[in-house]
Order: sequence, then C-alpha cells, then structure tokens
Amino acid sequence: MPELPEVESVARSLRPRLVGRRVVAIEVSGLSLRRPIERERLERALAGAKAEGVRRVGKYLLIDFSTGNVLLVHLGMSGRLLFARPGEARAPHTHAVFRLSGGLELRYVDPRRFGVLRAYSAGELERSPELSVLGIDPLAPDFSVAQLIAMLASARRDLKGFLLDQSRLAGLGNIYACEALFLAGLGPRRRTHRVGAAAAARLFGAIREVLEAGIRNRGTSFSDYVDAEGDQGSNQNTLAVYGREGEPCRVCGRKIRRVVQGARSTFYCPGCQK
Amino acid sequence: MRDDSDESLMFRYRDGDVRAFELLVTRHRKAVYNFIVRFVRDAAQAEDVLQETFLRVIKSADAYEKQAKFTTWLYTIARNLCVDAARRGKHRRAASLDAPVNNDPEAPALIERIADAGAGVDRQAIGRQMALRMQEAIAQLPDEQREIFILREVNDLQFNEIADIVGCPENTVKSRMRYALEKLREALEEYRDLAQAAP
Repeated sequence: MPELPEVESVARSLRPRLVGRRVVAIEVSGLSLRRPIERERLERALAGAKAEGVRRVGKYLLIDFSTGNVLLVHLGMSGRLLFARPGEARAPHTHAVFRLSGGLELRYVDPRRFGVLRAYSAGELERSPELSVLGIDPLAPDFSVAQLIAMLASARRDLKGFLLDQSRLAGLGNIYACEALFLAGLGPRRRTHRVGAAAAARLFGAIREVLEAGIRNRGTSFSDYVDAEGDQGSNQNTLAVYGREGEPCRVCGRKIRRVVQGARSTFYCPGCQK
Repeated sequence: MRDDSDESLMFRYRDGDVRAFELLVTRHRKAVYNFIVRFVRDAAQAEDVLQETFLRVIKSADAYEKQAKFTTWLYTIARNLCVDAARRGKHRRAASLDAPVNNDPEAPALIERIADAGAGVDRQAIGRQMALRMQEAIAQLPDEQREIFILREVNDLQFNEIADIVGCPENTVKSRMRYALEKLREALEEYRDLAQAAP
C-alpha cells in the first residue's frame, strides 16, 4: 500500500504538469472503489475549475481547485494517478479519467479498487469522514517529541500497532513502521506506555528519518507503485528489515525475523530491537 | 528531578525539558485515565481523551502560569474534554458489568479494591457481587454527581480543587457528593447485612 513517502512522491510528480490546467471533462468506469465514485458530484465540483495546488495529509492526496473545491484521493492498496496523452491506450482497471486543458489526461488506475476519489468543498473537507479521523502527520512542522510521548502514554497497545493507527499518526504503513522501529532499536511488541522519554525521542527521530529517506528515494516500489510520470521509486533497495526475513542484519549480523501482528507481517532484528 | 513538584516540572518543560514532561505524564497518566474512563465509559474513547488532554497541556505550555495547582489545571482540561465528548454523544453507551471498569491492565479493578484479599471465600464472593453492583451504581449516577464522586474517591482530590475543576461553588460540590453517596448507599443496602453476616 502506498504510504506517506509514496503519496508525497506522487504529489510532487503531479505538481509540475497539473497545476494551472483546467478540468475539461470527467469519465468514470462505473465500478465502485472503497466508496462509489460519484461522477455528478465530481463534475459539479471540478468541471471547468483550474488546479491550483497539490498537497498531502497522511496518505491522502488533496488537489485544490480555483473554485475552492478539493479532490481527495487515497490510493488504497494499488491505486495510481498517471498522466497520459488522450490517444494513449488506457491501462486495464482505469476507473476515472480527468481530461485536462492543454491536451493531457490524469487517469486513476486501481486493480484492487480499495482507493477513494471524492470531491469536497473547502468547508466540508476537514469534517469529511476521511480527514476528520486522522491523527498527526509525522512530517508536520509542529509534531514534537512531547506529542509523541503524550500519544504513546495514552495508548495501551504494542508499538507496531500504534504506528499503524492512522488516528494517532497519519501516514505510516507496514514498511516504514518496521523500518522506524528498527532504526529506533525498539521491539515491535513493546508496549507503548512503557516507552520512556529517551526511547520516544529515538522513535521520533527514526520515524522522520525513514519517511524523509523514502521521499528522497521517491518511494518504495515492490509491485504496483509508480509516481504520476510512471517512474518507480528506489527506496526498496535501502530497507534494513522489511522483506528481509532470514537475511543477516546489517548492524549485528543476526537473522531478521518475521512475525505476524494484527494480520500484518512485522520484520525485526532480535539483536538490535529491544 | 523525580522529587520536583508538578508545577516545577511544568516550568522545566515550558523551558524545553522534554524529560520533565515525560515525568508529568508518568505521574498522572493512570489517575487521569481512571477519571476519564469512568466519565466517558468507553476504554477506546478514554484513550483518545487522555491523549488530547496531554496534547492540550503541550499546546498550552507556553501560557502556563502557577495560578492553580497543576493537577487542578490538568483535571480541568480532562473534564472539559469529557464534557465535549459526552455532548457529541459519540460512543455513548451503558457501562458493561462484565467488562473491567477501564480495561487497564495496570490499574486495580474496582472489584479488587473492595474485595478483601484476606477474607473467606463467601466474603470474597459477596465482595465481588458488591463491587459489580457498586460499579453499576456509579455508572448510573447523573453526570454531575458521578464526576465529583470519581474526582473525590478515585482521584483523591480536595473539594476546593474539584470546585475549580467543575466550575461551581464548593458547597454545590459537597451537596452533589452527598447525593451521590446517598444513591450509592441505597444501591448497596442489600449487601450491608450480608457482608456483616458472612464469616
């Protein structure tokens, strides 16, 4: 699933060619994503409007339009937003096509259909069912170690589950949660309220470091993920634990282990993570 | 630093010492959670309110002045958030008698506080039944009586502090406490003779 760095990379790849163009027409496949794509609602909100900016909140992409309306996109498990020329063949599982001014299309492709594509007015956006439940974005400038301490102390669960909870921290998924815990030297099953200030400070730094590295490497591409220009990321080549079960830890040499937590695979080093 | 007062730790945190904030959180986390969970009667929502309480402390740290005890300030924030949560009506539901009061693996359940560990089996059984009845009776108190009973009996705060937290005169706090105790006494009346008769 695209996580914060992948969504941020898509946002960055969208800006140069999307901002300044108007939506000329919208086509949809008629198949439902996680929620149905409401074509009339999209048309009312976006037709004729000019894209003015692209931003990200957690794992959500937000495209701001001149009318004050916003297109909210979640890429789900396998969603992609891709630029294409109008005559180009459409990829299978193309569920929405935004025809733009200047002879360009923005296409939403999603084989597994877990994504979200929905228009909101600026006033509705913060109260939307998608954004109203989100926690703090870990790359937000005002996110602090003290906030993380408060959040850890208030939860009663394992660290890995905490990091994946979008209502606490919005943007981390399985890959970057595993990598952050490794970098912080913290075991994935450690209880949140038993993490002291020093460990919380390490975790805070590790979360930001793995996310920023992911963005620098333009995301982690294991299978589906590409940015809006169709380019893969390279972060998969730098991962310390994720997907490396049985391979030696690059720090201590012990074999990386995999356990299942909350129906998700967790990769960790039994030597480095306590 | 461990022996510093709450107020001193808050000033240290205001000046940038994150370790002081962690000490404050460690010191008060359980007690504030116990207050919140008995107010909102939902463990998951209590965690949300607890988190928001400490996040508000962070947000207000720059403006913190030693005008009131830190705990009074802290419980005022927690209480206001509980009231907001109750107004929103999210997750509002009756307390389960089977579930522990707060799902807190660390905190002793109310049942354990009331039942005497050294007592005989019959007495322990009566103690458990009584604790459950007590839990139910507390949950059924009107909000304004329940919060005062919890702040006084669970969080061990003084009446004048509670008056500051809930924003009403101390005499009103005392009369609400009196009504709460009367209701609880009525609810537990049937156990009085049983508890005395058991070996």
